[in-house]
Amino acid sequence: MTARASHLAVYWATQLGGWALYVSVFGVLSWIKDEYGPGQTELSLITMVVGLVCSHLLRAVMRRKGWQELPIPALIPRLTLAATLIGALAALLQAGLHDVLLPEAEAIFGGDGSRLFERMLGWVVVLMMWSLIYFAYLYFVRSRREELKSLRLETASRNDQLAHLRSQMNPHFMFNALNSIRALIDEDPLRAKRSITQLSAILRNAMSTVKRVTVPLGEELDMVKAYLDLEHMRFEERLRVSYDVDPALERTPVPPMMLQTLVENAVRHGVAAQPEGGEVHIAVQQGLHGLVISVTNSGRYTPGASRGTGIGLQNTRERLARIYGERAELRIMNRDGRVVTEVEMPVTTLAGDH
Amino acid sequence: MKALIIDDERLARKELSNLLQAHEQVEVVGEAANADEAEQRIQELRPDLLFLDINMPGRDGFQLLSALDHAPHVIFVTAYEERAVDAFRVNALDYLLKPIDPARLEEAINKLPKAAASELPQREMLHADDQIFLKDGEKCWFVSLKDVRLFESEGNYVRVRFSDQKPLVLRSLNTLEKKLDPLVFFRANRKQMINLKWVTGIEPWFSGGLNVKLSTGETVEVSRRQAARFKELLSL
Repeated sequence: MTARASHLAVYWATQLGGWALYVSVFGVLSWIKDEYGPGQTELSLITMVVGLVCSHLLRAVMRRKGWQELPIPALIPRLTLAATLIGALAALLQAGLHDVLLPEAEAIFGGDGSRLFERMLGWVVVLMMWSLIYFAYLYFVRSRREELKSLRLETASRNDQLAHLRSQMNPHFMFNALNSIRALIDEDPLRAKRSITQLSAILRNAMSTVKRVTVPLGEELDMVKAYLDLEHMRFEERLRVSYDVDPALERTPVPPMMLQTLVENAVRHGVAAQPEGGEVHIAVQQGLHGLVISVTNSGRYTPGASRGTGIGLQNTRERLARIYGERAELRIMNRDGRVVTEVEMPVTTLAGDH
Repeated sequence: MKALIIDDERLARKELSNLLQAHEQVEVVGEAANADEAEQRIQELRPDLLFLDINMPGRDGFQLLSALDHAPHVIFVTAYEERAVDAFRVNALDYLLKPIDPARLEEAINKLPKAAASELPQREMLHADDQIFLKDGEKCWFVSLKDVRLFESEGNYVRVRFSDQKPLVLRSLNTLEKKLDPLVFFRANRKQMINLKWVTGIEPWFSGGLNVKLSTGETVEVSRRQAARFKELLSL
């Protein structure tokens, strides 16, 4: 059953049960007072039908006008007016049915009209009470739904953070590095110590950059160098790195972990996947439209060949678009038998960034 | 027990080799940096045990194993590979995570069958007690040949039936037939080869052939050409 259908089922069950209970209470009361005379059963049935029809009408009006969304101060006058009008209608309906179906009983229409007015007042009060229950139920359901929704949102955002952190940590690299360091402790203790310091710097950086929008290029380059030094410990002569960075650009703001992501990709495909290893070249230059960051590695790029890289590049593209809009671009291409990944982005200092 | 360490990182090989010095029963006879080298060393050195890194440049650890006719004992070594670790769990293969915990290494070595004879005869033929490594998509199995009841040719592939599994592997039935013990595995017809130990019933079939029933209830037709050889084999 859909949520809508189950709500409707609850509504009708409560309606029928509620009105039946309402008229039975009056029936029992008059029976106790020994006033249960002829025509009482018919009157109860008439009341029940009128109650059902009019309260349903009231609900239809409230739903059509969207009163569920109204704040309480705006709701009360509207609800009072509607209950009064529908209450009057209910009294007329009840009186008409009563007088036609029970001709022997004392007519409600007739006399000075005080009997009819009494009925009207009674119906208005009953309909107001009915609305109270209706809205209480509505608010209860809604608050539960809101609570569930906010819980779900919270979980989703936690999962995102976790996934982000995990991707920043690059577990494959981390555990391999730790394994190599374990071997280095005997072979080259000084190198082992240096590697632990570098690994700590990378970890600290990965955790802190989650919050920052941009970092100075120099800072990002230090991280990349620490990372490549650790990879060099693993790959040894299989990894050959060269840099071509204009020192004047070291203070330029860049998105954190972006160059790092590109370099990790280059190592994964250009070095780790090749038995004889390969080269990684990092260049940062002032271009015509801003900063040009390029990472070149050995090998050949085939679009769609590697799912992981596709996602990594896609994420980088999305980040660039979030920060710089249309003014930044990421390209990947084969050039002179190598793979070049190039980011062109404007040089800006962003407000609110330190 | 002769062991070969296969890992693309020198330091990782060294680390494992250091750790193995504490285990007298394991003798490291060689190292290899990639699958091609490993295949050569396995031919030359005939190790009983491989310490195998999964992520390697070129062919990975699984691809190396799929290329071997006869799989030695294998302990996988990996840094982080959730998917692969899942594959092992299903098949109860042993694996170590880097950095390697010496206690876990000891556990893995102790789990190896003691009887692994280090003086395996030099032979090309596969025996019923030998195990083979099979990989179909993401799943992989180490299976003892005596548990395989049926090989079926499907185009360029062979379907291997054992317990309730039936992976499809890229091999040809003809090459398999040449490597398997002819006293155990019998080529019943053009498409099928059966393990004779699984045969429970035989009845005559059309045009001089035979209908063979396996203990699982599966039936295999023995062609007329092979029927005479079959009777001869079983009457021994």
